[in-house]
Amino acid sequence: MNNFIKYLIVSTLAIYSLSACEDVIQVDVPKNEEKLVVDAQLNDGGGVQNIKLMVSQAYFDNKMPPPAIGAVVEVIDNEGNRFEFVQKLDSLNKPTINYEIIPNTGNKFGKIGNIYTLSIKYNGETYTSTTKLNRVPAIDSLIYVFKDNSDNLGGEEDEPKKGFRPEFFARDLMGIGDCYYIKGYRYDKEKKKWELEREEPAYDAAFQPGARADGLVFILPLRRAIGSQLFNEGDSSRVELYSVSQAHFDFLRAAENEENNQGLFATPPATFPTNILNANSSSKKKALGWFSVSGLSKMTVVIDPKLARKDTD
Amino acid sequence: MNFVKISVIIFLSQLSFSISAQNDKTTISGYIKDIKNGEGLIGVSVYIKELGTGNTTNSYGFYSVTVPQGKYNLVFSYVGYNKVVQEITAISDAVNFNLEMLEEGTALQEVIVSAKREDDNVKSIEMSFNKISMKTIQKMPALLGEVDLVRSIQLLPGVSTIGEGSSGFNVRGGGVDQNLVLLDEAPVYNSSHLFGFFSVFNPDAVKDVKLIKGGIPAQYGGRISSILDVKMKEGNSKKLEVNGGIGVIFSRISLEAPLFKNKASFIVAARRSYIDVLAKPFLKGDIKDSKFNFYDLTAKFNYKISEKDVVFISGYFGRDVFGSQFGFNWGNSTTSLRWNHVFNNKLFLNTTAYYSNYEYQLGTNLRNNGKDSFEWNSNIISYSFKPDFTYYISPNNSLTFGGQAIYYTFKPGLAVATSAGETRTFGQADKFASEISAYIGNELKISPSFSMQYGLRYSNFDYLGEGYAYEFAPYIYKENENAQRRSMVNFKKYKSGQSIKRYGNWEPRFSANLQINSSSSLKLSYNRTAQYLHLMSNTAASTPLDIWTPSTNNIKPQIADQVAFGVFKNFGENLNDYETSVEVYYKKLQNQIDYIDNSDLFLNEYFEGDLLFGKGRAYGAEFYVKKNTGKFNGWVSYTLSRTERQVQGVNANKWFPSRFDRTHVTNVVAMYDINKRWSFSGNFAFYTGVPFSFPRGKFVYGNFILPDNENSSRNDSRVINYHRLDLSATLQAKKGPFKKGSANWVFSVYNTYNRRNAFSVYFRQNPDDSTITEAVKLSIFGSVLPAVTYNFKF
Repeated sequence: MNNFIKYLIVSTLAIYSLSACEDVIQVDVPKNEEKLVVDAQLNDGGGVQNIKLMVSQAYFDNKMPPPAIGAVVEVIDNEGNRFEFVQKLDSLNKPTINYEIIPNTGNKFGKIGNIYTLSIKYNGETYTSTTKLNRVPAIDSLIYVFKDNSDNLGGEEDEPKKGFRPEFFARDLMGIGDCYYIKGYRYDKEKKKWELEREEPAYDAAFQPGARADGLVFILPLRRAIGSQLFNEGDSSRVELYSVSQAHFDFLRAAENEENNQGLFATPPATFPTNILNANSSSKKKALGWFSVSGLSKMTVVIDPKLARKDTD
Repeated sequence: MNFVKISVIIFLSQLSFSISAQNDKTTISGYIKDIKNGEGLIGVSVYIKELGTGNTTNSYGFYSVTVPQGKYNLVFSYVGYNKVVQEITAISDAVNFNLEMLEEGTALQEVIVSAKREDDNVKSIEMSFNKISMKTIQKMPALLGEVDLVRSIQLLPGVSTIGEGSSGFNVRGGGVDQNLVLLDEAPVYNSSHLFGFFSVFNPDAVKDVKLIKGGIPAQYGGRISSILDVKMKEGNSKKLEVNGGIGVIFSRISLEAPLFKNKASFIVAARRSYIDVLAKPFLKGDIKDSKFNFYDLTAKFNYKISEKDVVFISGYFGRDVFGSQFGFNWGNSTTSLRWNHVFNNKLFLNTTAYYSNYEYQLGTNLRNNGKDSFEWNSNIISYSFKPDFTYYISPNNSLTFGGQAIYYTFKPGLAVATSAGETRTFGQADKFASEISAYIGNELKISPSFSMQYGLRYSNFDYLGEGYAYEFAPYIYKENENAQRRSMVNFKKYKSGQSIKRYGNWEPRFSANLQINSSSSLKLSYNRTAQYLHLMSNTAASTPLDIWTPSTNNIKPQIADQVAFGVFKNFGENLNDYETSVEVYYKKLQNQIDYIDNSDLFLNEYFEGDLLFGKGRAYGAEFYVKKNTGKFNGWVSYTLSRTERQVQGVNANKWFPSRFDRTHVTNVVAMYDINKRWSFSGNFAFYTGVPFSFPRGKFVYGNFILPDNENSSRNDSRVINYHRLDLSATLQAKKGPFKKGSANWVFSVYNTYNRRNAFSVYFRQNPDDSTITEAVKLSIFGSVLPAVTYNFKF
């Protein structure tokens, strides 16, 4: 429900802004213990499958996260299919954080209902994690409406005041507890790649468990959680809907909350769960992060003013 | 329960003594009021010269002294009022003597720092309490010029706050939900407008404020840290009176007048913020329909039915409204009906029936044909009936007894969400509870130099159906691992009115005063208090959206035991020009609530699985020096204290300072009256910074940079020290508005030397470069805040 607290803060900003202020300060933080960090978000969408392996840093160490070098990484499914991941090198032949799947001809990665086990051998320890590839509904439509926000206060200075707001429609699958990760993208014509606009985890068709939103069309704030700024004519908008496990939903929701955990109503920094376990349970070496294999549905549109829907707000 | 036995024996022996001695005794009783406006005067000393003993008026201005038949000189004295000596011949069974006292006609309107008897601090049995008169509060520098009761009591010893912008206040290491805030006997669940910047009490309608921090008498119960007892004015029963003011934030108006040939009177007082009215023309686009205002309405009516019966009806209604496309509002409403009855000049009864409601609503104002919407309602409602008796056996012996029954309904949060035309309702189911208590207390002057007050309260709490009792998986502690969510493993449904869980607590109360000489005394007190309602809040500052929840089968009542010891000494020509005290206290707290990481307290039926329970302790020393008289007066208070919690699964099970722990708290309040027209005041505050927690390490996942907090400790770092100086000047205008009455201008400056005091420190990804993590200090006020207020009265 931190979203509501966010609204609360935004609404009173008018009054606070007269005087409230934030200063970046220096805090002495003792050094942390270095741990293996796993960012393994795989899917059945057929694209390049990539696992990021890093080493955790001290909180105010603002260098790029260092790669975990020389790990042996593989994923095995319950049908016995093996997928090996190898560390990518950069242009200077230095190891990067990215481990990519070795193309395995005739063996498409990802099948709904299968169980996947990740195994990482790193610095003499073996870390493992198991997850299931859950079902995901199809996206019914991706629409957009024209908005004129010229009179609105706030927002970024370079933010377009007129343009198109995308909204997708999909219906949660029947049965309580389907969880999703919704990601919205815009195509960057200069960089020639899809740039993430927004991402939001969902439990059934709503923000959290207990919302009794099973089997509904995704609720309005989620349907619109795919663009942060208005789109122009000719821009491309994409929505990707990933199925995730309930435990992964909790992790993602906690991460979202932590990102917004600021200001007057901040809570103490949280500890994050992980599904990466050291195979040797008596070892003191631990890992952070998450391993997931998702079902993926996606839809892309090119904004055409003639096809824009009527704004009903 | 030896204590119970002893108190019952003492009580019975006192009672039999008083009955046997009845025939040759007489009782003098009556009401004491202000001659100017007919307001009952609280705490007037009634001293019988011949016997060297006496009594004081109660909160309704009633006194009663029972003496052997004879002729007596009664001395009525009250600070700031002319002393009255009255000869009374007491030969009949009962003498009724009412008195109206006149305020001292000092040329300079000197500030009266204390509304109580000047030597009360030494002579009374009570300790760990503070009274501030509204006159003092009105003279003190106020934030944006808005006279504020709650912010003023934060300058007293033993009281602190997390900072501007946090609701409520902390007393002797207790949480904000551990204060019982009473407005004419009805509890107020949220004492703040705008997240704690302003309190809900309209200064024009308040007559008397008393804060009890320790040695809590048996008649009070339900919260474990303190009682803030706010009494409203009764309304001028002599003539029409209008008070008003225009400030930076609020405009205020109040009206008081007599009714029915002075048998009755009323007061109606209203305040409203008006920044939204001024801002309206500038609001365009998506904030065109923005609402941001807060207002309150206070009203009271009293009617004197006979010499023996008076009834009072008081009401309060306040609201904060915010939002544009997504709106929310919250507020308290209370109504209390009271009946004072004097049975036989010795037995005084006040019966209170009240209704109190705190609620909030959130919702969207989208207009897309109602196909998509969201609404969230939450409230806590209490209904209570409460008879309180005082039996004035003799000037040296009085007995209080009574009881209270409260019925609560809780709507912790119910949301109605509509998506593409389909509507679902979710959240926490309504909860019900009852709290029934009975108490007896005895105040005894054993000798001229030794007096004591002791009592016992028993409270019974039932968590009632209709509802579910949930059972959660047991918490298994793992070393170096913070506690995790416990899943619901079993539940049982209970029918309407069925008791799901019952708790009962004996709450002994005791205080004693040993007078060393006429200007110094030693006091000792012990009290146990129990609390059955809890505010769920895991944020730095409590928010208006925080949820009140009853004790359940999973949440045990909070219990506090406090011992306090104090030395009181007065100095000066009049023996009480200077008032000083040193008090030390130790408090033990049971069943304190904490939360797991990533807890979900809102709209979560199984929120109890996210709660952790632990214990607390608080101890400290409070030093207080006050100058009561003269053109230059005020006080200095210093508190050295510590408040800590210990919770399984937090901070590796070790004790940690609570969120509002401040080692040093110093307040200086000074007032100076130059001449008839000008007076000045200032206050300076110095507090040790509040603690905060920080993450040790971090890791990257997707676009997030997340803290790695394993083995990290809670609240082991502190924000910088807080200090602030406020100043104000009051100018009496030559004439009031429309050439009638009187008026004044108050010029005030808050945060005079522009210090950016830290409210909290939090950690974030830099908004411009999200790969960078940084620590941010949040200051609520980053500037000097000057203000002008115009007040009038006619």
